[in-house]
Amino acid sequence: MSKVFSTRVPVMAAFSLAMLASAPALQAQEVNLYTHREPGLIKPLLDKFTAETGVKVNVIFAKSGLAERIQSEGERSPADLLLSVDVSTLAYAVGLGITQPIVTPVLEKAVPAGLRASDGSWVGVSARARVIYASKTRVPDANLTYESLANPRFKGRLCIRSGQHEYNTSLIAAALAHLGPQGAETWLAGIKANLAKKPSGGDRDVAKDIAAGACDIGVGNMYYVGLMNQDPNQKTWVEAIKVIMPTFKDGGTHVNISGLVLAKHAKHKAEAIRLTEWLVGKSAQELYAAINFEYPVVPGLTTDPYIASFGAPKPDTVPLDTIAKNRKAASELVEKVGFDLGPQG
Amino acid sequence: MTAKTTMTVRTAGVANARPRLRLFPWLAAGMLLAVLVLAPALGFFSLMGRDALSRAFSLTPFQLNAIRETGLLLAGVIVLAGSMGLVAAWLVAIYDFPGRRLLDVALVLPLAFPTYLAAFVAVDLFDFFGPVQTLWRWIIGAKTLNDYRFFETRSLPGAIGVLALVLFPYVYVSCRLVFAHSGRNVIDAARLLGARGFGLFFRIGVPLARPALTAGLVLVVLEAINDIGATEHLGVSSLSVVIRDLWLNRGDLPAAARMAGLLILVVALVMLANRQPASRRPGTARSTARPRKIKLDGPAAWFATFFTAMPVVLGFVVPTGFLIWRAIAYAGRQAQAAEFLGAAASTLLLAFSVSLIVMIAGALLTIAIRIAPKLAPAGRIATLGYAIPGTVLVLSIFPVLSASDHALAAVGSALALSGTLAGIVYALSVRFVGIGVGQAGLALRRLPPSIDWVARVHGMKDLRLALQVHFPAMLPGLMLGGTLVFIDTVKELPATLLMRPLNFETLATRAYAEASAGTFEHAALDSLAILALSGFAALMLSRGK
Repeated sequence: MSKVFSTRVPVMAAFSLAMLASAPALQAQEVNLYTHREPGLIKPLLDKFTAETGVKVNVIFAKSGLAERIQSEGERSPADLLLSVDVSTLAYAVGLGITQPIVTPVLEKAVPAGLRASDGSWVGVSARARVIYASKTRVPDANLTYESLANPRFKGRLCIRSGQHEYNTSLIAAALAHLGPQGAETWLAGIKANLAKKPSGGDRDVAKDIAAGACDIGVGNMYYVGLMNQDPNQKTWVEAIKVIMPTFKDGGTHVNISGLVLAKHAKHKAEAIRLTEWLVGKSAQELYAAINFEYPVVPGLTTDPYIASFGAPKPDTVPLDTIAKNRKAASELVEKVGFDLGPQG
Repeated sequence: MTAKTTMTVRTAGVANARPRLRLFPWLAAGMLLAVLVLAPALGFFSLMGRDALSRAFSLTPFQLNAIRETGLLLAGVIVLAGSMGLVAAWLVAIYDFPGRRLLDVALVLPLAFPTYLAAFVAVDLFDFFGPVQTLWRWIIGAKTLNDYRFFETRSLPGAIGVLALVLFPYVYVSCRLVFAHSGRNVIDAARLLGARGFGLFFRIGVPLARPALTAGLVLVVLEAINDIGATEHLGVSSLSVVIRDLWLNRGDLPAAARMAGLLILVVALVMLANRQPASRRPGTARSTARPRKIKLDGPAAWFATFFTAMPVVLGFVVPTGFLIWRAIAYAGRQAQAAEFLGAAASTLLLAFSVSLIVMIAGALLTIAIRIAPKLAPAGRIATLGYAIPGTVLVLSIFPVLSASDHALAAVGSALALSGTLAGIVYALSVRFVGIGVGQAGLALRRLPPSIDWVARVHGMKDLRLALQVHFPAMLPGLMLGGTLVFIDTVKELPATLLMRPLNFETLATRAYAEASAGTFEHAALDSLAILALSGFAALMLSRGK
């Protein structure tokens, strides 16, 4: 018995390990997509791409850390494309040196200059505005600026998710560009002083908290309103709020993108470019906007009518490259003013 | 047995003349394991070293606050989970009261809940629109939040409550074992001498359970300290959350590494607190007779039932019921059968692989330490993986995998570890091998060293000693460790999420993907399947004792 045990177990273990490790497959008609966006929100789109082109899309989703994974995988990385929901993450991946530019006539023609990097290092495929959710009954204003969120009249009435979340860091990065380091700090400290509770939860929770009466005003991405509106359980939250399209005093509404970078060692470069170009095509753009309640990046296409009813945003003048550059400073500012500690912290 | 006959044939005195070379296989096994476990630590330092200049140690007020919040969180969870687990174990082991048999088993069930899932369910249950507050408003006739005050779930106390409710079974299981078995004689003697009620509990029960309580609390603390999903959702800036933010949102690796180093230091201190004294009284006597339980009547009985039932009701029954309700309400949004079954199969494959490897590694290392006590540090190194926050561990393992892939490529192999199932199995094994080593070690320590001496005198060699004496003695511990690892793997998130191959989904990754999109109801079925798998395994825990 002892002999059997001593030889078989290691052999079996080695064998099963060898079975688990797999040789990297190289098939022609597929493309490997690493995504920071939840798979449920892009699956219908990818299914349609596969149906139309015959190119299979393999997906892996994680909330964060995929750029680091591509970096670690190095030359052998199976990643062809990285999809992310914030320009800062895309720029970060570019900074890690794991990407290569995508410059094609189709993309240059379809996507306006502000929504893709001038050197083609990243390209936006959908756009979203960071807006104000406000109580229909307790906030009479129809127009507000981002600056007004720091107004003492909202003291104890404001809800927002963690300042370290990328949606907020990007907004703060825009504020840094508009108000300067000193001004942005005063502004952020003002918002902190207005908080009704410690920053927590997600954008949907802001609407929920307003509906519950825990606060009167908050900040969230506009597409969540569309998503909540189609959820039987969350519709009541939407009914309690109105969407205000805020602007910076000397600028416009903070509009960010979900976008793609092409991996430096992409094994299916042709298919990856094909998917990217397909995503900015008319039907894909309209489907993407319809599923996710976002804005198409291609001008002149239809936005979901419910989202359109919030009014068309006048996009901010600060270039997305600057937002990405300011990300670290914004995150440090959040820390400096103790934003996430809440009103008392 | 054949062992007996061969033993009598052998001459005595072989033990003295043992050539040192014999130790080699054990030394080699121990070293190899230590290297495999240590590799991520090297990976971690290689990451830290990329920006050596800014490594000066300085903490901002925010980072200090993270330390403070983590401290408060842990203190709260220790007190709450510790007292729930200890008192429940005491009541169930010593007394008889209505529902005791059922509760004895059911008290392990909350362990089936992944912390992040428990947090999402808790918020939905207890917030303004949840059933609890709705009922409360109906009772007191309130309409809006201005009319009444209610407990805020998304808060530090909320996080303490959620974590304690799903983690206390670690304490329960280990204390229960002491009260029912090894400490039984002491308790019975104290009862004969007239100790009763609170006196019996505080003067006999608590001191008796102290090592087991510590062992259970160490697991609780490690789970709580590594948690990101629950603490983040509940608005607690714990060290793990801050590290993740610094690293992945701000891209400030050196700052993240500094904080992670601090966290690892804290965890190392926790592990140190759990170091069992090397020489314990050999072979605690065990009475074979089934001890009679003290029968409780009247209010005392109902109090006991209430106190032991509450953790089960709050930590399992209510949240599970809520999930079932959500699964029905969102029936149309649940996964397709094929996707769901695929995810369930992947989860099982992963959990069984990791448990098996941890059990094999745990057995090898424990026996190696027994035969060559100089290897004891290797056992401590093995527990390091559990000390590193999941996300940090994963990112530290990336360089290791990529180095090994380069090595494999250099020898012309087409195999690769990065982004394969083998990569995750390795990462999770590193993370959980400490559990296997710990449990197997505890079990083997109950076998008095004199047994080894007798066996050696009779000429038993290392391998036979290991297989015929040590292995059977530690098998219960190995099974317990393997079961704990199975449960942990089924629930595990950061490593599985970040390291899995393309198109590879487990129940946990599917549930998390929906939860992070703000629609965890859409994956209620996956969540229930996680509960079924790990709940079943948790029941094995309570049967195993």
